[in-house]
Amino acid sequence: MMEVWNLKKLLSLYALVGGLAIALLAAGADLIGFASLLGENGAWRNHFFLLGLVIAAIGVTTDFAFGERLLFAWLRPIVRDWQGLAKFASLIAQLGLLTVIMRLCYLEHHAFYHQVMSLTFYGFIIHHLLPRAWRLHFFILLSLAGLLSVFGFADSAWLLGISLVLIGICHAPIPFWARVTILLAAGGFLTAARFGYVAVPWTKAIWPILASMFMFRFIIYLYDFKHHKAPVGLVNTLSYFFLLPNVAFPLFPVVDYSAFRRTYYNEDEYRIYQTGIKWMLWGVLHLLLYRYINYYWVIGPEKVHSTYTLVQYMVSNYLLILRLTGQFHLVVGILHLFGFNLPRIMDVFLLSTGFTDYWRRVNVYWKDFIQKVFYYPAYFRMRKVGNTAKLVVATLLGFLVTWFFHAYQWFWIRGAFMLSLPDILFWLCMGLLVLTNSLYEAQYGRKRALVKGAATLREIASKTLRATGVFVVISLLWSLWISPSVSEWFDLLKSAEVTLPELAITLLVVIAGLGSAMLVYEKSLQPSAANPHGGAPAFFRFAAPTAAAILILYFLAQPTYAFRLGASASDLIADLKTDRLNERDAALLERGYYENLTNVSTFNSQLWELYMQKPDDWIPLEETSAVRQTHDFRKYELVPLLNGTVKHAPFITNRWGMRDDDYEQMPPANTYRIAMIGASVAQGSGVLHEESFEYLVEKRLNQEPRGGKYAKYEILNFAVGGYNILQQLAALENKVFDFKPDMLFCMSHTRDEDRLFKFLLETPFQAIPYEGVRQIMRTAGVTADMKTNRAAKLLEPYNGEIMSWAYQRIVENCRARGVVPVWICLPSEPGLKDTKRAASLAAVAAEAGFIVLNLIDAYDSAPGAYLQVTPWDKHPNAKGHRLIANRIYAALLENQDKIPLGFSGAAKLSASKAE
Amino acid sequence: MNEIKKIVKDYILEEFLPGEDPAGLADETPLVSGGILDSMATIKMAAFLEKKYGVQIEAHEMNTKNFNTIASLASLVQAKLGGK
Repeated sequence: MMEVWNLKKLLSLYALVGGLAIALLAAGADLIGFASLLGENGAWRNHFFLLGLVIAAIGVTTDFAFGERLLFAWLRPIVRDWQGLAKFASLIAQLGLLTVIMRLCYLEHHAFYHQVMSLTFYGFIIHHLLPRAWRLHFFILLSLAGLLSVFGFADSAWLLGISLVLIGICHAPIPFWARVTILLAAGGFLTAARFGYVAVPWTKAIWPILASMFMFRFIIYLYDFKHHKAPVGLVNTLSYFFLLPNVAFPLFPVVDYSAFRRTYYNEDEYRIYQTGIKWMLWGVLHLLLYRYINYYWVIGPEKVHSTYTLVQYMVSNYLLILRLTGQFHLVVGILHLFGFNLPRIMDVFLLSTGFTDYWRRVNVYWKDFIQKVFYYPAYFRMRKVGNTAKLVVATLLGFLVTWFFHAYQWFWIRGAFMLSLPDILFWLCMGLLVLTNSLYEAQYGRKRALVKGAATLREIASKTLRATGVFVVISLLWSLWISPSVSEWFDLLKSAEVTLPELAITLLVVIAGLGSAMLVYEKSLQPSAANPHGGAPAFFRFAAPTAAAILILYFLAQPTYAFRLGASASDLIADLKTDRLNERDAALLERGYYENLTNVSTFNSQLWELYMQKPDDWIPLEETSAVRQTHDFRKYELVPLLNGTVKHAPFITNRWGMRDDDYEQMPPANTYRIAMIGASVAQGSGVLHEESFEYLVEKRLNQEPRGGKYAKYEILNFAVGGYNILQQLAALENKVFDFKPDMLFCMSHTRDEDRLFKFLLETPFQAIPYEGVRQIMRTAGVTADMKTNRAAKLLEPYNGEIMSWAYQRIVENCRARGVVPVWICLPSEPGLKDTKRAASLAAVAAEAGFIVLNLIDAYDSAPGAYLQVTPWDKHPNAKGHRLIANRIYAALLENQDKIPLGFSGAAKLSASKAE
Repeated sequence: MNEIKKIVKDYILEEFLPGEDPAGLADETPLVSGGILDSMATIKMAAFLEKKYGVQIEAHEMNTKNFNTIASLASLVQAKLGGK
């Protein structure tokens, strides 16, 4: 009888949970990669969803009918707890809005704002409604769903398999030393595989995540396991290694295992959740601030020439750390939503008043890890040594290990071990500064207080001055850290003409900024009038500031409301909502500058993340067999009659070496011929020829009868990827005019000046065939034997003049041959709309005599991320080319009075329709 | 146990919180998470306990669980004394 009762009880329970699980899996099939299992294009999804609901309904019915009424027993306390429900509703609303904000701002990358945040939002609701005993199991399932959604079945299975093997070794019933030995052997195998010495069946995409799951957490886990510092067990262990947000962030906080276990629901659950939401909001704010600095303030070393630019370079590059702090706050915030009440990871480190203070605040988890596993064991091992000597050895060991682990982390993430002198010097200097500060504190003590009293102005002034000192020194060290070499760092310092008055003004600005921040910070530490004893405030009072900030952010992210703030504020908000590289990184990406760079500076760069995704065979055109050397100023050109592949796309050229259809050299009768010069976008990099805007515009010109005087239109594509304006000029003079064009399309984009500038610096002075260009360079003071850095500083102010010279020469060439010169400007990449630069280039082109079509708005109708070939290749994809083609076609129709394409008058009527 | 707590409290007040009101330091006042015991202060605390009670504190015992309150410090010492 008892067994029957149990069966009824279990059947109803399993039917309910199983049914809901099926319904949830069907509903989220797209998200977690299950859609392909549910018929073609997920055709059976609705059936599975309904099936799940029916099974769940059977569970509810049997539960109700057979008297145990587990569902009611479960739901009753939830429903009766009105306060709890109100708090839960408030949390759902805040999290929902935050999720929407992250999506609207494309924060970080798709795997995060789409997969991880969707799983977090829905997972949080379900997780909270589950009985406490089931929650950790659900968290593991949710984390595995995250893996599936990002990596798919095969890679997820490998990742899970490797993880289980490693964890299994750790728990094998053999002596501890034997387990460590086997783990080291396994690590050796994985190292060989990471180097590429051993072929493995999984893709390289999983390495960074596998590494970030185990490279530090495994050390902590083994340490705690050995010393029995926290309970282990399959569920505890799996939940520690499979942390949901990890799948989106290779640089992950070093979560301590005993803290992870100790803080699990160690406080009121709603307060833990609300703290999580607060950290997530901080993360979002950090990331938006990072974008502002990255897009508008960061400069490269080549721009440093004065006190102000030197300070701008140092401070802005240092503040790029906000990206990491933003990510870490998001990670810790998400973990709070599942009950892990972990301590704060960073503590207003910009206001550190000493170097030990900085070390304690900048990355609390890392400091705790080093302290626990290396510093204390080293210190306590030297029992017979004097205190000062112990302090010196243990501190320096901590920094030696930190340096090594950064290189180690870099190896697992990127596959190359980082060994650079600036990196070694940075950590050595940091170690010595912290050690000196520690010795001082050991000697003279540090002021501590039980209750934070109101700070006097004198105390705030003293703290501000100390914080300024730390900030200046760290900024200086940071500039060393991000320099490719020590000599380049010295070159950077030497290149700035520093004056004392400018230095004093800069310092005063820094003091004023940090002083204001210090005032606000000190005030925030005081107990409020409403809460004079400084205890934890009531939930809704605690939640109010976060909820208000989220609401404001949400409205700002809505174009309707942002528009009311004025055009410039609205443009700024729209740009901050765009996930893009800054101008400098975009130019570096285009040139493949970081391809072989394992420099530490890339830790803060979005570029290295893109390179991690890039397949090895995704190489620039000029490094493929699609080009041949020309042994002249152009350097290379396309190979004629080629039938190959470039960047995974078929690449076919005609007999003249154009990526285009075949044409006779002389234009057929009654044909209007347009020649197009340009670079990779015009050449159709990353798309099929039939998808390129050149093909689409030509097709449209011929398919839509205009009733004009020409029977046929031809656009001959002379564009070659990587060409700058002078190489295009050389191609024009050597090749293009032989094809007797009627019109020239000179395709430009907003990074043309940078490309020309870098080309001139890399080209020997005597190899430049244009006396006009050489003359401008001589005027700038550039000589043949000059160092690149020096030449760059001298040449930069004359860059525009060289562009102007090139444009004038193109126009003169065209006019001499009766060719109509048309200059067309596009954004340098989808999502990067530099209106000011486009306008300034357009003015130069117009002055040179071009008919100007400034199409900087070509990509306006879609987010940049949807118009790029791949995340690591920012050229427009097929959709981007369609937008360009539409925009060019519309511009041609709109400008028929200036551009003599020979359309009939009626065509003007359709100009508006072309959009 | 209470005697240990008193000695630990007196030491903390004298060494790390001179001039502070003793009434503000309770057995459960958070020391590590409250910023009173940082890594160096924790080491000093451990050295004091070792010297005072003739016990040996191991590196892996230097954690928040043992050092976060006067009560947990007293428990650590008590356990070590009891184990002798």
